[in-house]
Amino acid sequence: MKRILYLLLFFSLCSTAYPGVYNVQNLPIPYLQDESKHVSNPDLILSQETVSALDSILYKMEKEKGVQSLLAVIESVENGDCYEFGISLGNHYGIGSKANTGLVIVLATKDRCYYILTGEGLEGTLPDALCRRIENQKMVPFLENGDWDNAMLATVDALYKVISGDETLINELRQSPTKKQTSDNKLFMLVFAFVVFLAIYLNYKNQHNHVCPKCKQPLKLVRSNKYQRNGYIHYHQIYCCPKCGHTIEKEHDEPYDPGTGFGGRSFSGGIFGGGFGNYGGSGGFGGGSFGGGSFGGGGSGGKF
Amino acid sequence: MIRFKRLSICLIALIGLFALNSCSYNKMVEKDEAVSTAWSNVEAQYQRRADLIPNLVNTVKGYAQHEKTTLEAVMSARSKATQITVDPANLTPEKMKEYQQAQGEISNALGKLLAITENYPELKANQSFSELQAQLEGTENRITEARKRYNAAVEEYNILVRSFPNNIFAGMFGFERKNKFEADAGSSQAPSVNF
Repeated sequence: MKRILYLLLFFSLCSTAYPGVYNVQNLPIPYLQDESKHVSNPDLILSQETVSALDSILYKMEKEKGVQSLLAVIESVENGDCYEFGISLGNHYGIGSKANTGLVIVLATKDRCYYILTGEGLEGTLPDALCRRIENQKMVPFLENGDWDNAMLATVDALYKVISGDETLINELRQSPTKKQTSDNKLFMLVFAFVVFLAIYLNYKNQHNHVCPKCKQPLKLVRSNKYQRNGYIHYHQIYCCPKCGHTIEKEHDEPYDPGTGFGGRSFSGGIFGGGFGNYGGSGGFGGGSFGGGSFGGGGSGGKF
Repeated sequence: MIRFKRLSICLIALIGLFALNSCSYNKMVEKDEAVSTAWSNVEAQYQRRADLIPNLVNTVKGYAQHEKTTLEAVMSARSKATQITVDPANLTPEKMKEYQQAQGEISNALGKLLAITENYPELKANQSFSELQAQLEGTENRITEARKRYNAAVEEYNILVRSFPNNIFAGMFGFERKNKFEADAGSSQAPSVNF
């Protein structure tokens, strides 16, 4: 009985997500598959020519100015709130790369709302008032006639002009390393310091702190021979107690390792290598991926 | 040789404990600073709204001279609220409540002002008024977002400070629980509209 109830609940939930109403989860994002596609047009509201024209402008915008964008034209958004939809899109995907210059444009034709959202790094270039002016002059007049294609073309064109005129916008590729790397660095330093300390300590122990098993006096090194054998250095040392004359012979091998100065202890090499591994992580800049951008509520929108 | 081993184990354990402990201490400092930063951001956004008000009032004044009381209410709420600032190091619940109340009064007064502008079609058609309104809306959105982030930072901090074993160190070093923003007292009720 319970299972049937759950099943019913599941189906009732499914049925609410009918096509045409979008939220962050069900909006398809072509950009993730192909970095030259910035437009999400699942309801085919815009014509194919418009989409490719918009894509080429927005692609140019990202390559030239590092402004990562997403343009969504849909019938309806969840709760009929374009702002809420846009900002959760922006923050969920982190649109805007490392320079935090993200741009989200939303148009919901059945809800009759639109919104231009600017990432926190773009608020200086595109203040709210300027977004409103672009909307008032370039978007709304077309929207009132139901001319979605020209509304979007004129808007994106105007935005591109503003963005390309801003000299201060930098390419995300030239950004400094992220914060995560510095914390990795810290860990690396900690491990490194620990290893150095341990190596010095063990070395010191080896040389000085052998004690006589009988009278607990520190032993004195009286003879030390070393010779190379199969890539190892073989040590042969004789210690003598200065008090009771008890002698101890010690033999051990160490890998022949002239470079590091760590005394050739094999474990130190191992940890060292592990520490270096941390450096590798964040190398390539993958095409077609969002991340790093955040939206603080900048931008402007309205109803028509 | 046995003694040497025992000694080195002790040493490693000591260093390990120290490293662990200092890490969590640093983490608490980091989260504490994050809360302070988030709070400063909230204040900055409220300040941004306060800075917009004189401009808005002047613009409205040009079209709606008869609405003097509403305009004055906005200005007085603003001057009252700008006097109250809260130091992030001293975020007591009372202080926060006081601050929130003062800002809430601005919100109410602004809401009334924007409601009356509906009666002035010429004002609504004015480009600079439309842009000011956009700035105001953007700022309100920023305030909401900054408050959300502040609450998230506080939550992270509280979880860190209150979970074991950090709560022992937190008590030792004086990291106390912090308070979140609560919904405004008046925000749950929609403003009434009288015709």
